[in-house]
Amino acid sequence: MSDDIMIDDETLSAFLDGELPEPEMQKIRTTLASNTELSERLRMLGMADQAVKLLSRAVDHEPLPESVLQLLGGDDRETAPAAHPTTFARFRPMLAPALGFCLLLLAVGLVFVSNREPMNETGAFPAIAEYSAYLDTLPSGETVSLAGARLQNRFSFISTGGEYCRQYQLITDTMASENIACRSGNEWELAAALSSPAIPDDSEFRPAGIQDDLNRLLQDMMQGSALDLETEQALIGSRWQQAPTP
Amino acid sequence: MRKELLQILPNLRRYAWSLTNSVHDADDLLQNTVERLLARGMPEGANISKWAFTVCRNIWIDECRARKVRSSEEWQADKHDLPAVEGDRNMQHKLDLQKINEAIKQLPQEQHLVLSMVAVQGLAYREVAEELDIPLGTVMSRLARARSSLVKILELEGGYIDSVTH
Repeated sequence: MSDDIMIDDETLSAFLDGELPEPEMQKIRTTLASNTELSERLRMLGMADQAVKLLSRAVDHEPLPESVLQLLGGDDRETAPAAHPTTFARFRPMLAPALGFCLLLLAVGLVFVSNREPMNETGAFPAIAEYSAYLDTLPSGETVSLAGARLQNRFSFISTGGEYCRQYQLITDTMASENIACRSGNEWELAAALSSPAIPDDSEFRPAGIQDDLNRLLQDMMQGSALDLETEQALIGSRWQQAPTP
Repeated sequence: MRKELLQILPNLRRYAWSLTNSVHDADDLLQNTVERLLARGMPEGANISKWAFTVCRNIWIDECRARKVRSSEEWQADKHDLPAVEGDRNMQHKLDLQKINEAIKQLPQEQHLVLSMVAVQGLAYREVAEELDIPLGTVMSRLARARSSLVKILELEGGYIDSVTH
């Protein structure tokens, strides 16, 4: 192909971070769908990042130094809970291998979602119609910039109602939102949106309360585990037209 | 400003830890950062989180340069660099973290820094390039080399990288 791009580690690394022009991103996605070796290499690079993030969170279990708290005139209880690692974030499949992910049951009851009611979208975030194309095509773990926000797809799953769903994050300068959208017919419909003030420059953190609510929702909605990368790529390629197989 | 700093303190500490890979050094770096922020304030209209991370990084870079000038014995890492693990985690998990910690320490400083800024601080490439005043291509190459080096180092542990991230 005359327009082949060289896919080396530098290219894969930039793809991992969503930092390539969209035409290049698309070419790489197409190549990944049929190149197992390249997919594996991408997975390993992603794992390296996961290792770094995992290590960075390890310090959260240590109490903050008293001397610093005294400088700021506060104590540990006043610090934002958002910095503490959450079970869900640890299992987030940036580049899911062919394994499912487990969610831990929470001590506080489960939220039962019987019927999906139409969600009222707030003005703080783009409407789903503005980014539904990315729910169609953006693989899990990738980030895309929208007008005034960034979207990152976290993972895909089949709901207990037999629909394809995606869990994703929207983040603006001031707000962050964890969302679940499910596919009904040929449209994505917003099933859940949990918002919180955003912590600038860090899209990893979610307040513990939001995380608990999200975990409960997912526990209730998910049929089995998150879809693996290969399955998700096939669904993206088929525009989510394949019938869900439980 | 104190209240805002308290809010971002855990994130800032995580960043300090990602730079130093030593709990002791991370807390020292955190304290120095907070002291400087309180003493010098920040430019009007600046984003406090961005500014604090920048100050933290600059102090770390200065400290790294200073350490290279001083005796090499001071540069040796503390054996107890790792944070305490939770009560219900096992010793294997601590050893896993130790291996990752040791792997990251093998990275050249400039690669380690870019990796922390992207993977931990969550900056875009353009932002890293602006902060460090380096070309975008340099950001990309340093980041790629850091990641592929980590893959190589951790793979040497025998399929280790898969086990540690699951």
